[in-house]
Amino acid sequence: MSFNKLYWEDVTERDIIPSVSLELTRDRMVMIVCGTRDIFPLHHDMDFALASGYKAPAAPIAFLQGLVGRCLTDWTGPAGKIHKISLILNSPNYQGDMISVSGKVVKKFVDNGEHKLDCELAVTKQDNTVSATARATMTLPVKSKSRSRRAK
Amino acid sequence: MKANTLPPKLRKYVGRMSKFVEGPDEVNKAMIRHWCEMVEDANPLYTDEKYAESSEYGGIVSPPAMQSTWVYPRWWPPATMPPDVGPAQLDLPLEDAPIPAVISLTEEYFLPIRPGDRIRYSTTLDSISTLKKTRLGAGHFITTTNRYFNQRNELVGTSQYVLFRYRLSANIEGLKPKG
Repeated sequence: MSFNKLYWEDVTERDIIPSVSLELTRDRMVMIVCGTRDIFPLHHDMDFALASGYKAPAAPIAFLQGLVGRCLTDWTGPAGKIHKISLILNSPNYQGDMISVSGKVVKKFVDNGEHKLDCELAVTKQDNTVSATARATMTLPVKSKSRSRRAK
Repeated sequence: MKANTLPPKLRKYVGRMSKFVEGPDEVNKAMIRHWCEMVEDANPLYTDEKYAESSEYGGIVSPPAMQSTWVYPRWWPPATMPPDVGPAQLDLPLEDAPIPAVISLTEEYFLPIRPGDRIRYSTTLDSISTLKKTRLGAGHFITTTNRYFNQRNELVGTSQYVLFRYRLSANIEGLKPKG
């Protein structure tokens, strides 16, 4: 298997971060419990979800963290390091929804010798509603450290 | 917003830090793989031994966002289960606002987490709002920060949660099951 290796020099502000999608099938909801160990009933129990004012079981935020992380490192390759992710939830991601994450680069900068990017991402559903937004800070490798140091 | 209307029984919790809770298992490759299956994440640092050994890490690392998964409580046996994760560790007296909804989450990752590590964490209550009425119902906005440490006492990461702890508003009360 081969992987991307995105260099900091090759990124431009406003570059698009390609979309990744997963459907929240009932099997996927079970895999989310396996992956996160979060057995809070809102995430798998229809009766509990309805009684809590939701219209179906809703995926936990850890699922979005996982999908946002995947979206970022699918794009950069494994050499991209995630330092920070902020997620703001607008509406629930229900069982049955098709969830997509995509984004763009909003800032490219050097911080303490590290070559960083700030990215903005959106979590969207099949009807184009934005169920969450995210902001992430990453470090990317550089082609030539000595050259970029001189350029600073 | 009148901060002084927050009842003293809640106000005294602001700034409080919970005891440390240790994750039930050491960080391990099987649980990392389960997380990757969940979102179909093929990052070879997480699951490809050979690739990871040749990387700057010298071996498999955990997806950074798994830091909270490493400290999730046991499901069994009940006697050894901590009450819950996060704010529940603070024993906030919010029995009348039992349902938690996550509003936002900000995580920072400082050090890699590797198989064999033991992760523990503690929660601090940063702030709590007065009673607010929202679309969901009446409740309190609560901000907490979890700090995760490894067995060498190094801070590996933090999570700041903004939660809304609420009870259902009257118009959907009818959906509530008995008990």
